[in-house]
Amino acid sequence: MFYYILRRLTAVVVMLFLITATTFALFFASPLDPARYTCGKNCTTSILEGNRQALGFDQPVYVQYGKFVAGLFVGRDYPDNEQLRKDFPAQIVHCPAPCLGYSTTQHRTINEMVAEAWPISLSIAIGAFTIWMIVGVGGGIIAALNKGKWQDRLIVGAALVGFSLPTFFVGLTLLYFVSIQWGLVPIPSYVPFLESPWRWAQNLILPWITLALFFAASYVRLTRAYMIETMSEDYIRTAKAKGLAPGAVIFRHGLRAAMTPIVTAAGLDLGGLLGGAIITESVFGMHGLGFLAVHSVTYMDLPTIVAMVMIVSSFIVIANMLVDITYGFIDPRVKVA
Amino acid sequence: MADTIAIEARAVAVPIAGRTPWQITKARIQRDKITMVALGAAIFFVALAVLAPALTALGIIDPMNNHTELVGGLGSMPIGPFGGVSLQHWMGVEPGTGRDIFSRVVSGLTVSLTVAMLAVLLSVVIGTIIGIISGTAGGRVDWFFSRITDFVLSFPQTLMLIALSTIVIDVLQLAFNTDRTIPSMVFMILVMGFFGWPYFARIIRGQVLSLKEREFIEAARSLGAKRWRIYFTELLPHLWAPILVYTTLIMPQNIATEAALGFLGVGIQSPTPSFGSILNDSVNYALADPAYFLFPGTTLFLVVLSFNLLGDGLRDALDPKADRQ
Amino acid sequence: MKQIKIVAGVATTLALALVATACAGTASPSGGSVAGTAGGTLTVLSATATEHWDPQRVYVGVNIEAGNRLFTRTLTTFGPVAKDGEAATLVADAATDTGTVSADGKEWKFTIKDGVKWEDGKAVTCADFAYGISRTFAVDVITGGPNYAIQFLDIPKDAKGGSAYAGPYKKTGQDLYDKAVSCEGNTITFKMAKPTGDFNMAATMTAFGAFRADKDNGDKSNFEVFSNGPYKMDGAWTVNKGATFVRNDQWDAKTDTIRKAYPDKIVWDESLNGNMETLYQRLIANQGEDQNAITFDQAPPTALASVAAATGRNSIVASPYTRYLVPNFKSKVFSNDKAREALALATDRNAYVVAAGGDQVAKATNSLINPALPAFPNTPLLAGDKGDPAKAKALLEASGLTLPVKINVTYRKNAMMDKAFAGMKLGWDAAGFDTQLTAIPAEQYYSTLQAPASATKYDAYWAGWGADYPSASTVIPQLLDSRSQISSGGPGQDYGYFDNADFNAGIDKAMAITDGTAREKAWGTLDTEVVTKYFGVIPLINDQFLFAHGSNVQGAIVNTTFTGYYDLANISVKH
Repeated sequence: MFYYILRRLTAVVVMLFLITATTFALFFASPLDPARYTCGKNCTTSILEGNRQALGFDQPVYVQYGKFVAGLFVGRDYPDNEQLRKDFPAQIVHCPAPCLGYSTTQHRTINEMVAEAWPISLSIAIGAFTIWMIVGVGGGIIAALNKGKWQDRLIVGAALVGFSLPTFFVGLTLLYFVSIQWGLVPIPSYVPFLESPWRWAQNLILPWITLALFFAASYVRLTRAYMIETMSEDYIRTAKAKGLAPGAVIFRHGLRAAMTPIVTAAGLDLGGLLGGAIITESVFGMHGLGFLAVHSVTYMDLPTIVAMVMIVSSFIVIANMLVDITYGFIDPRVKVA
Repeated sequence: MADTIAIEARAVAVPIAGRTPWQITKARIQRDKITMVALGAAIFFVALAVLAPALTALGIIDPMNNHTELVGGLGSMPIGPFGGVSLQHWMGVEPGTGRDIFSRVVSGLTVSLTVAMLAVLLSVVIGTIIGIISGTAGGRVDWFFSRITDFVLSFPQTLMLIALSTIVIDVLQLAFNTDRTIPSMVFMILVMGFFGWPYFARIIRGQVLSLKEREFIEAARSLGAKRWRIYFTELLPHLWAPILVYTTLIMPQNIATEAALGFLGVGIQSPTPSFGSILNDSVNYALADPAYFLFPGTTLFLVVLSFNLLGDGLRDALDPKADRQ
Repeated sequence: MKQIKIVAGVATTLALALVATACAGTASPSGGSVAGTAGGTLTVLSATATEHWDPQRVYVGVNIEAGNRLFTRTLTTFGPVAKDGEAATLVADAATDTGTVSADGKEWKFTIKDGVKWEDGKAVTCADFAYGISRTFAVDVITGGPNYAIQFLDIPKDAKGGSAYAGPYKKTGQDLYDKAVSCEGNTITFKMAKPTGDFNMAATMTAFGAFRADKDNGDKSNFEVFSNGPYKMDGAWTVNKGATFVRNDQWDAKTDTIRKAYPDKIVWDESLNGNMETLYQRLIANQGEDQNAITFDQAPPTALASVAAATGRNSIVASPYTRYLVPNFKSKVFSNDKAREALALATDRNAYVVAAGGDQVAKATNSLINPALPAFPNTPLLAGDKGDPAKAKALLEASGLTLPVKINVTYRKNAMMDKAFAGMKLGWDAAGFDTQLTAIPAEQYYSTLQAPASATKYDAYWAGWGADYPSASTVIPQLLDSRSQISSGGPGQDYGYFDNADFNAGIDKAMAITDGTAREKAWGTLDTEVVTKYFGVIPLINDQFLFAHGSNVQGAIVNTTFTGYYDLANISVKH
């Protein structure tokens, strides 16, 4: 098992290097000139060159990538200029390891930006996750137990409707009507949990509902399918025949078997979401990782784009690894080879 | 990711004798009223999409021309109740131009469905080829392709779509020397199609793994059939069911993605209508002009819903046991 | 404005200011008197991210306005006005007067007032101004700001057109700068490369403000505020949140005739960054704290009707901008004179006006110079506001090009512009063009236009320009003088590579006119010439800005001369 985990970890690291290298190649080799975006209204050739130099874009792509990777391990200084370090040490920004880079539009390290945005994305993800797991799994169980009856049809139908509603449409409808028009909740604006748990929840409830609606729908279908499958297996029938209470059968036997694939899916979905929910964050003006990503793209802030791709991929890759490892522990059928 | 493969591998059981699989499926679908309604709706939307260019050419719908006399006041809002709905303009007119919203939605169907469909096709083609190869070859080849699949799946798709749009559409436009409509469509197809193939590859690979050990393949192999012949002539006919099901299920996801990107201001270039390019503007009018907010949004919802229902029904019909995503 | 030195060669600087005022076409006394209530908290709601607070990097009207009124006192500034849209007067701020210019127009002197202090109590010195302005030359660190200092000051240029002085962080060329900008006690002297009669207007930009060398952290200073005005930043700036400005107790009202500084606190709230619609919904709803709020973001088309309905809480004023179309002279199609004329004739400005939200928020124009400037020539439209595609088609057929003529037109993407250009495309297509539209994201728009590669990709560009200060010499030469704009690095702001020797001669002639009024008139004539003779630009519209504010806000007046936004000088909050 130890070697298995070690191998998976190595694979994760290799994957992240490949992803960042690809992203670097894609954007830095593109015909866009990032220095133009910082050059201002009356840009001249010499100003342009000055900008390019200051941003480090005058160096070859592999050098820039090398510096990026080195920065992840040992940190970096911005601007990386010996003379300046000697003459004006106050101007140097130190970006400690793991240094994700320095944003050309926000004039600070991407580490700082991520540290600010991450709690917001985390809050959105965790709240939405809780809601959709309760609603989705609960709905799925009810539907499965009432297979073919009206409850089943209602829940499955609602799930399909929820699944078919575009996230931004749901979000905007909630924002415009529930919040702005009817004033039932404040217009969402992030309040840290530690500042006021109540206001934190109040401001996040709409983003949570928006995201949860979409995910709950697929968990209803997932849970229902697995429940129906396991409930028809022999050992469940045996348990029922033994005279076990229906509740015990459902939860101790049925759900437990169905739980493995649900936990798997939940892990992967949560992992993807921790990197920021682009649409939901844009709709509600939540300045989480998703918003940061979109922002960095609109301003062609290349260092931030690369860092964001890396962060989001890390979450996906690590969630995958964790799910695989967990699977190895709980399901003996998975060969650890 | 191992488990997903395990799940999908069991996704579609091969039906047992008697009637052909198609007959069984057909009978099942015909019994399922909701699926029949969804099928009808999907056919209706596809038909509208196919006919829209002809309708435009005949002047029956008019998605492009301004009717500035139909809008007025501060903000150039539609004149008349509920966003200017009238006998001529069933969904009202667009604020700021007076263009007919119904015409734009219908023409938008053409673009959105084309993009979604071709993107699925691209995913299917790449996914099937890679799935068959890694399923049959096994060993190192399988390992290699599985890592590639993991690699592609690890990219944040939405972020990549947004980030690449500026660069790629520009390059495509130069290459095609046309207006931005076609390049932006090609871009969406390429990127959505590219990020979609791993799903198909996994499903197909799982299918192939379970089919591989079956007698007819063994028989073909012992008869000395060439490897490639086995891959594509013996296996492929047994794969149409999962391909069809997942095509129907990925299709609405692609439609929704195109619309969501439009909301973010990326994708199909105005004035060409698509769900994305229409909703990019209309979502801001929820309070000022609810009709403009509701009509295109609701249409999008109905299109996505009908394809989802249809895909669900198809899956149930092909294998009632495998009712999952 | 050269009239100044001839008529008033020995006159006092007060007279100078008055002449400058006359040039700006106003007769109102400086400092509109609006009753205000001291105290309270004003909120500035912003849906647009502030990119810089560093005075030398600020080049956005909002931040010039706020920077000047809150924490960066400039040598001169424009005073507040009493009514929306009224023209403002050039007045002295940190200097004792609006400056003295030498007879040849190449040397400007300002004396810094006593009692102007930094937030730590030290006096603002001539050296602080010299240091501040020198930062503009550090083009690799202090990015984004205006480069008028580089253009104007008498410092040699290197082969690439860059300055021989590399700014205060590198030592190269410091002696050259010290010669161009020198201090004698409290008097700062600027030596210009060319006669610059309106330098004291340029000096209103915060880029010509003071900066304390010991507070300079280079790029790290981007959002740092070290105040010499009535407010200072409380704590640090947070992107997507903003900061609170509190009173600077070192500011002495006696040294300042411009800023009333009524509110105790100004909360600059950027938590709505990216959510313009929500911002306006909140302002219109006028609930709680939002009653004390203003915004510098103009109302989006969706909110226009409800903003207009909020009577007493809104302003509709002419924006300082002209939106125009630039045919690319390097493109095959528009190097053809008749094709450009056809494009101009077929342009349906009405479609643009309607898309922008109707004739109350946009007005069709055929002049590059904004109506707010004295030089505005008011050139009549060629074929009404809807254009004349039929006549244009005849021209195009006579041009020798094969119809339909494929053209690629770019514009800055947003939902409104999508509609405006879709509408104008109809007119162009009717005239025989086959128009392809290319929408480019806002943040990347001008940098794309200025990229040399664009010259071969696009045939015409949308662009917008507002004068940096109320003189057409920040319009015509800035946009159409090929000699100063076009280089190997791109077209500068002459996006369409308009390069006409006669026209350039006209610019030189206008520059040399000594009489201010006559010179502005010459700019107007050049404007009409480029529009109706060369079809070098096709002016489209002047838009109006709509702003709203909360019901407790008093004195929310838009200062059209100075930046075109709510003026913070006289604003106060009822409480």
